[in-house]
Amino acid sequence: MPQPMSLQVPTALQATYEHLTTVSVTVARHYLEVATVLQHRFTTAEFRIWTQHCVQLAQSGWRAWESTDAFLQLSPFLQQHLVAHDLWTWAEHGRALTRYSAEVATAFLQAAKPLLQEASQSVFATWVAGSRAYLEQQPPLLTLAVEYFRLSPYIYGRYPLATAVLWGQVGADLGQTGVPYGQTFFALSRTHLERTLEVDHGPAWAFAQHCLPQAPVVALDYLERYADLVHRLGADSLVNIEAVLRVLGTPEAADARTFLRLVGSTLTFIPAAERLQALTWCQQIAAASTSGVLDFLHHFADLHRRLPGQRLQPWVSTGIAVAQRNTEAGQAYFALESAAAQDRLQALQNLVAFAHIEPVLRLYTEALLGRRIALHTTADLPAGLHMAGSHLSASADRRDLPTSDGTAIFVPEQVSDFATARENFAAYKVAILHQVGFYECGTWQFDLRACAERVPGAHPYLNTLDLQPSPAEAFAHFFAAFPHPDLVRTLFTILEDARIDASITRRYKGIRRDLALIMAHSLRQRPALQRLPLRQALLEGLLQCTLGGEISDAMPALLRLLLSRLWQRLTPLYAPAATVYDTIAALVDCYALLTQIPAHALTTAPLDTLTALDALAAELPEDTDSLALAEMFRQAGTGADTMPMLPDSTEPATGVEPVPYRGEVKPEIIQKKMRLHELAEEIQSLAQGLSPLPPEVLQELLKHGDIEIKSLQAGELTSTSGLFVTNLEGREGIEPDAAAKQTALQRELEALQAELQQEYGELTAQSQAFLYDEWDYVIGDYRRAWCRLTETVLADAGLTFVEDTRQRHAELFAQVSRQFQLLKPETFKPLKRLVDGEEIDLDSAIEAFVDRRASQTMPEKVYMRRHRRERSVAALFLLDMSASTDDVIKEPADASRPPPQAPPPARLYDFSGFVQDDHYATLPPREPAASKPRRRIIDVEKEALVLMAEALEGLGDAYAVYGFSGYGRDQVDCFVVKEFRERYDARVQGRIAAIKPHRSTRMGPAIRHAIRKFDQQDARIKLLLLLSDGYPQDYDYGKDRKSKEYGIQDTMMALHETRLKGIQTFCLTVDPKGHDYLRAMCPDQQYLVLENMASLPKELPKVYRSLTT
Amino acid sequence: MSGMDASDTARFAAPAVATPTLEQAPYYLPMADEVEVFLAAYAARLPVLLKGPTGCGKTRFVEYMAYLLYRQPEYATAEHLAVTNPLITVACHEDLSASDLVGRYLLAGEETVWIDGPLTRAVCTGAMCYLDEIVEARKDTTVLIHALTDHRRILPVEKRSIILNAHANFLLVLSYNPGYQSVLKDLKPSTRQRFVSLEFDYPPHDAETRIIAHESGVDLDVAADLATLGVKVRHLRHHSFEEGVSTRLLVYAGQLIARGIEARRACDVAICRAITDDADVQRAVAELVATLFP
Repeated sequence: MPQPMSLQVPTALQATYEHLTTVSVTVARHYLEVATVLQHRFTTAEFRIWTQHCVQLAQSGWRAWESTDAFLQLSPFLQQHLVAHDLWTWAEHGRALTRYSAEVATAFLQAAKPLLQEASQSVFATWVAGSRAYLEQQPPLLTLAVEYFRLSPYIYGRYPLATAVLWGQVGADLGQTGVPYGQTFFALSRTHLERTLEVDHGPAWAFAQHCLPQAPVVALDYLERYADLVHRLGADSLVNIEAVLRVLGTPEAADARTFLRLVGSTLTFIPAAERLQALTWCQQIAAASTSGVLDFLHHFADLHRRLPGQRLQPWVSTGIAVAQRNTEAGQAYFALESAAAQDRLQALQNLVAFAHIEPVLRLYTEALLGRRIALHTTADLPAGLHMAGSHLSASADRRDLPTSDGTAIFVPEQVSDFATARENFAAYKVAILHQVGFYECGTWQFDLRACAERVPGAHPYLNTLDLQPSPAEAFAHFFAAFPHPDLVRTLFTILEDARIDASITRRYKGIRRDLALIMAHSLRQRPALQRLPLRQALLEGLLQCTLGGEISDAMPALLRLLLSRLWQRLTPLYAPAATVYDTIAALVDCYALLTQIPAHALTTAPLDTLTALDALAAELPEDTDSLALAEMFRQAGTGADTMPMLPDSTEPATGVEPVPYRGEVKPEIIQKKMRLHELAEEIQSLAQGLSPLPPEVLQELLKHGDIEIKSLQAGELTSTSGLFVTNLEGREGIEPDAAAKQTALQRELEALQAELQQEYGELTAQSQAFLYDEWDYVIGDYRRAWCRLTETVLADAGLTFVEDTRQRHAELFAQVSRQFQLLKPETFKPLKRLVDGEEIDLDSAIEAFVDRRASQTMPEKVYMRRHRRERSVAALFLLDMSASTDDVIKEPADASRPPPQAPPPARLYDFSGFVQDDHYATLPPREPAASKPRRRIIDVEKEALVLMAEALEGLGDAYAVYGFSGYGRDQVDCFVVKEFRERYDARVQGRIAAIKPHRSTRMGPAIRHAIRKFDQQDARIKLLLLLSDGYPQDYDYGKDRKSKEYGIQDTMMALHETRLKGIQTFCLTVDPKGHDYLRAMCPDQQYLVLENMASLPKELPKVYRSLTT
Repeated sequence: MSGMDASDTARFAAPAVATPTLEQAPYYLPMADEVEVFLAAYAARLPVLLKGPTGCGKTRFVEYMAYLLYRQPEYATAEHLAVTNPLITVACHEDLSASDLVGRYLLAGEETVWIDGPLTRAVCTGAMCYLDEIVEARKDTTVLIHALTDHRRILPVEKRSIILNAHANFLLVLSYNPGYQSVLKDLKPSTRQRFVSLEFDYPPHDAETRIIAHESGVDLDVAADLATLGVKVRHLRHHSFEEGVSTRLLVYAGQLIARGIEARRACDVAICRAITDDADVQRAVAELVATLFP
């Protein structure tokens, strides 16, 4: 109902009312309402004072009506709660605030109610004093003051007075630093009040105030995350965090912020008890190295996994010591980049990683098995091998079970289940022994015909089979012959594993203790039998028996009975002469027993609910046969009407969880792969022989078609050109007479051959990438696995270059060849004056006799011998193929060519009448000067290489040629021109021609790679010749791109390593500034700076000669 | 050069060792028919070449045959029994030249005396001369070998300008290891085809067990484990180090075990550290030992 336009205004209020209407009608009306109420509550004097205040307020200025309105609204409440005097204080102060702005005043007045509700009037003075901090700034922080008034009541309500004051002060300080900071602060406080009220923020504000002056951002970040951190880490840990922040905050705010960000998320996942320790470490590390603590947090999850609890302490202590000595080194240490960090970690943890023990394990496996078998980690397991065999459904998650596939054995990447490194290594040995055991004990020789002969019990199942499948499919067919193939597979795994274990224990006395330990460990981790359904429990129980578990009386009677029946069947497997056929015999028996258990609701319920069956089982005598058991089940089934019936199609799970050290193998796949391997070897041997590939072999290959022809390669045509692939299945459409079709088939066959060689051939390196450490002189340590080098074989670029070089330097070639021929030690060199020798050295004998006559003493060295010297040299040429080799060299002046003719002087006058001083008169034509193509540094180097190669071929020394370049530490390239064992044939000559400039010069990894190449060489003198044209440089060769020192230091260290391996080094360079750095870089000053690049072909043989004789 | 026969050479032959050797029968377990073959070859005075890896019994075999032929009554004649050193062994090395085998002049006091080499002594006394690892020796020894091993059976002593005819009972036996020789060092066909070749290899597991048990005195099952260890380590033969472990080393290990050294330690010193210096291979072999011995 709308208000009447004219109100009943009491006369006492009339004046004020009219006064107020000048300000605002709403206010006036409001005044009326409030005044009406208050008139009765106030005394007259008070009322008058109150009215005065209202009026003053209304007149206070711009937008006064807001503040007046607020006051009016407030007044009833205040009147009820406050003494009148205090009320006036409020009003006066509100009016004072209107000096700044109406908003502030309004906020102030509106804050009264919450303040009085949350706190009390007593805090008024302090509260107001707090606000002054905002208002008395130059310029006054009005918006912040407003916020202050809005939020402070609640703060004052929650926190003790001092803390609240602190809060206010912090806000003011932040605001002083910058208004946005202040605003953020209040926003955070608002969030705090709304959401995280339970967390006491007092300490946070104290800290914020402390670090405010230098880093307000950090303070705000801290406040933001404070509640979260308290939740995650507990209030105690914050002291440490603050300490770290104190250290970090000062130089770089970004570090502190990153730290805050990381610390919450990283430390949440470790147990609470260890968090304090972790933070203490952070504190200590921060004191030593600021960036180190960030890296430490980055890697903390990994470090904690490897060295949980206190075990990380020694590592941290070492790191702190390193950081105190050298900041950069400390940084690299905690970033886990330096060798010291990784080695220390390795030494401390008991985890055994495959990568570290790989060589030893390879030799071990090869010695056990007697032939080369590849050894990989389960990470390299092909997907097909892993996914197949879906019956073991429980194992889909576990990728690290040892297994083998006929040509390779796969082991886990790391083992850390046991307390000491020795035991973890023993776990590897046991896993390998188990896998090898399958081969040693003849599991894969399983054959259906032999099975039929030796296992009579299997006849009912095998009768359905054709007994002549190929040997690769024996297992596949065998399993498929049973109605429940999955159950058969599981049983086979359990029984065969038991047999293998028994065989290992018998034959290898030394491993018995470790094997027993590991079996006991595995047994402890098996699930309890009580909660499993009956059939499952039997399988699991059988497995546990093979691990050494016992059939205890605590088991339900039914289980005990059945389990002991099953266990009896396994006794023959422990005999010394047990074969895979004994396993099959036991398997058939067990299978018969297990299939008596109906797929019944009864059997899917857990074991401890089958009390009915228990009673029945207890009555049966020990040696009941299967029929009685079946009868028993039938009885139990009819008597248990109350149990819910599940439909029959729900096949109970038949798999068991695999045992870690036994792994899991898939017999069908292994047999197939072994057969394929044999076929491949047959093909290879046939390809080298002269007989054509018989069609049956090819048929078999195509039938076992896991092979995909990924690409057709034009391989070398072998001598089996006479292949006739006529009568193959599926190829009837091809007329053998059509030559084109035949060549196509042949190509396909070769591709298949190449494919087989690739997939199933001898173990080769998985990739051609090599990781090398790099020496960082700043930290004084190696950076592990810092550079990645890939080896590429250069493409053939034709023979023209080599032939051109031969022609061009014909004379030099002849000269060098002659000199090198002279190096061959043909002659016997006589060595005289020896204590013992073949003949009497006449000269010294005569002297000896003379001495005897003269002085009664006779020297003994009167014999001589002819000593044959042999050359045993291996040389490696390492060629810098960086972009700078593209520069053109200065050709020396060629004395053979006549100087170009000077043009005849221009004739000015000619009495023939032509005006000769015309600019456009033609000059007599000049002879075209034949210009040689400009040669670059790389061309000269190539020529020198050709020269050396030809000379060395004549001499007979072993030599190899590589080039290197790259860009960055992850892409160092090494180009193979000639390996040691290759001959200098057309291919190698083509590769020399293909050498061309690339990018940067990162010498360190290239030299280390060359060292590796020398490993297989066995020579008395080993020589590394480095041909370069400048200093080592790369864009990330050292932190400072302009400084050359890092590269020089790393190369120096690489050359030193070369020395340690007994390889001599020599650097040849054309850089005129070469002396500066080569003097330091090359050991024993083995270097040569060529004045003139073009003289390289002449100098290189000289250098070689002097180094190898 | 004038020819001289056995009676004249008696003046020149100066036996280096006066006491007779080979009084006791050495232990040798025949693997196949090598004894019969050797006897037949000796009967026809055909030179014999023994091929095989180190430590597989070649020297022991030659000793055994020398004992049979020179001391065993059923084969030895009176002449044989009279020879004080029936078996003269020469270990060949890179610097071994013809003069080391044949003999040389030495200055002794005021005089120059001729001292016979081992080959000359064997040739003169009618003993068996066994040149071990003949491929290592210098090539000028080929002249001597060729001369002694064809129908002429002569030994030219060039420094004295005489040619000695070999004693009727003389036999030349060579041995070498075809495994790790480099291409440069190999027997030329003209040399190889003068000999009857017997191939030796490490004994099969059971035989090796008996040999080890006999030679070292350990129990049969310990010997069996040692033989298994030998088999396993020999699988690494081509991979990383050239020779597998020889039977001799296994016997050493057995002897140490028989005298109270703990099995793993005995194998460590006798086998692991002896066959290689490569740390990885040593470790792998040590793990094999740990697998086999408790």
